Amino acid sequence: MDILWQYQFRIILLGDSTVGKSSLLKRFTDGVYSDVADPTVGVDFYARSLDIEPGVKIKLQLWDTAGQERFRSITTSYYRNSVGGLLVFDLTNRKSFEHVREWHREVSEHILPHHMVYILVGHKSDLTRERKVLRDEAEQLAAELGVRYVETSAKCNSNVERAFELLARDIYELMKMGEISARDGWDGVKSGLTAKVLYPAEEEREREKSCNC
Amino acid sequence: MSWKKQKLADIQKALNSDPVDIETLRHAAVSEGGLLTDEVRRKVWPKLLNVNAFDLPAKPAKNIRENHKDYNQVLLDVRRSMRRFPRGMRADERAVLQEQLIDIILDVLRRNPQLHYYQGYHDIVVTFLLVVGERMAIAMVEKLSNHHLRDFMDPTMDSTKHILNYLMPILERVDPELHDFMLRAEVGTIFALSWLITWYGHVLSDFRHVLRLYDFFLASHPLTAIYFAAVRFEGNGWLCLFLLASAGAPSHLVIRLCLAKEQRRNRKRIVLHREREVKSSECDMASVHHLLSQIPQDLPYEQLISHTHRLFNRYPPTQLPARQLRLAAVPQQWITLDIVPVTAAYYKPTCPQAKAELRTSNDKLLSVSQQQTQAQEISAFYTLTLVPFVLLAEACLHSSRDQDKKPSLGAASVVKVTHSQLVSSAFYTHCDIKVTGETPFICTPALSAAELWHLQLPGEIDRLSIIASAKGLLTGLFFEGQHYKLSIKEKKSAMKASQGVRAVTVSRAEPPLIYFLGCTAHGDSESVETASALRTEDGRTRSQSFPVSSSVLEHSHMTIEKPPPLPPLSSCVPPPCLTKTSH
Repeated sequence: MDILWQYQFRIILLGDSTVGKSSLLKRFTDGVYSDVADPTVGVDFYARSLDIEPGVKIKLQLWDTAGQERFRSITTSYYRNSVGGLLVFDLTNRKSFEHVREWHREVSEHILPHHMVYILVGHKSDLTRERKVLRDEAEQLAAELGVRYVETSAKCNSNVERAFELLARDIYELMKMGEISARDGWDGVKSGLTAKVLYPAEEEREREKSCNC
Repeated sequence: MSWKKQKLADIQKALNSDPVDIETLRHAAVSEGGLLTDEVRRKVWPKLLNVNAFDLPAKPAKNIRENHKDYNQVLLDVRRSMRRFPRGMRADERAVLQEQLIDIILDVLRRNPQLHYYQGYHDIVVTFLLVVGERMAIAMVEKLSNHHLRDFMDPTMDSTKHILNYLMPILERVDPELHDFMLRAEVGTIFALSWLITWYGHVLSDFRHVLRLYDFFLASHPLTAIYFAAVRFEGNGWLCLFLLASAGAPSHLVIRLCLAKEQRRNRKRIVLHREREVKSSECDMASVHHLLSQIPQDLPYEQLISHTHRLFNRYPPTQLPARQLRLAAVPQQWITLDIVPVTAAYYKPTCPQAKAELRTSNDKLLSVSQQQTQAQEISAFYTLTLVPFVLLAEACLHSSRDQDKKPSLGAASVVKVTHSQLVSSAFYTHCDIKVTGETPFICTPALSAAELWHLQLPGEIDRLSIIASAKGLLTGLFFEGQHYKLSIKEKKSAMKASQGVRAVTVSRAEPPLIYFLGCTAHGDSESVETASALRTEDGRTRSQSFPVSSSVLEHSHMTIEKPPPLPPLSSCVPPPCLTKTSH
């Protein structure tokens, strides 16, 4: 049987109501966009895999959350088991941008002592005329939070792929450095049972040897 | 005469009789085909909710949208939910309906400040708008929101989560294998959230199915929707597996279950080799998809409905034993411990085998049973089990009286009793509503509005006694010589003002409804000082606040009595876990 993925990252989408979290996910996983977008009730799930480097396939488990405040007590239970988070705001909605900081704080505090890898996503970049948030401001916020920033449009399929890929890549790099690793009772990162492990046992020994001499 | 014609004739006869023959209408709504046509629905639905068609609320006023806290959210949700309108409807026609939908929602919310909008509510309201029109929709939705949907419209989702907790014990009745699988897979129950709070309006694409279900739900107990979830889940094995897989269940478990099911369904087919395949390698979404590609598109709704109906009658909510609601049912959730004032005066184990599993805040997986518990584990234990929190409350009560003495029970000392404890809705989820004669009251798990609906108080409420505990919390209700336990749930905002109890609904769907909103009392004197009640009659609400004295009697035939004196602590029998054992 083919190995379909070596690692699985669980990623959560966060942000105010109607910033376009579900549209972003539908574009990324199904390649479609629709003007008709029902609000998410509770939590939805999507999946897609990415080739992060030759021979390494990452499966992304993507959790979509309802933006309305009252669902927070339900969505918070998904924070802990996520390794990555997209902090999404709507470029045409100033408030949604201002709330990013709160989202960031809420999640970060909730999952302490662990950490999450974030990416800041300014969505609906196609609506250039209605833009209310400057790229500079968003980049500044991203720098403050120590995260990357990408502007996307699900409608025009602009940068959607890139946003998810950047996040997955960041997580992957951190994993290679040993900053993130799969641990029992945590579903943020999983490795496939028959997967090629980053450092197979032999390689590990060789590396040790080389250190010793 | 075809059965449909016969049914239509029966319905018409029931509608024409005076008074309207509700039982026949209910039966028609549940039995095969439901109410058959929208024309019939327009007539019968209002009857099912006891809405008077000749006394409908006025069209929403123009200023309805001004300054409403939920206005923005409602607007955002309705404007983008085009999917819920019939395909092929002209855009301008739809736009008119969408604006009406916004008005209906805001109108109901404005007249019922106790109700809070949630995303998905509009999925329900739109169904009524499309069938019965604007003004009747207002009347029906208002009724429904105060009954069937009441729990979903609290300021928080706690009651909703509480109701979701019914899913697992019901599922265990329907399909133990699937139930166990779900526990192992730790998928939780959140996947059913949108089914429950939209009555499936959000998830079904065919409007006819939605209507058929609404016939059923309108004629049934409010918890029926969660029973249906279990049946729907099981009734379509592949669909449920797909959902499980998408909910993140470990795929090898999903596959194994698939195979087991497949084996049973088609014994001739040999699937063992596939099982080996499954065992030898971790399964992935692709193979699950392969198996799941057999999901039938159209579910047998009539079958599912009659199955649900039978299931409900066979295992009504009160008969789902507490032990079924072990916490493992919600393992994915990070459970926040709400501080709930617990006020038991007597201890009576209703569930001596209580067992729970939960991740604590320091990420430890705790699994304790009453028997195993050691003294040092006690504080953790209390946070985790269903029953013994009563004991803690007892200790708490005790300690509040003897400030300088450390509370103790048996050999075990209770470590921390700063707040009377710790029970999130997930914990005190289940309760036995029957109260026996010799137990003045058992500390209550909270009852949701839907559960109280099930209390089925006999006859009219003409004499009601509220029992307050030593800490001034409403804990029981004395009605015609019988005790009923009441919801004890703190609402932080409301509580600040009145140290009391959260709203409690008593009575069945028909008026009069009485909500007890608060009840302030002196902790020391063990007497209730004031109580306020909100009465709902004929859809109108009136709020009353009054000192507790003889005047209460005049008001509403309510007396608020002193609680019975507490027995000495020594006369309570501590459970085994609290007695010192030699080993």
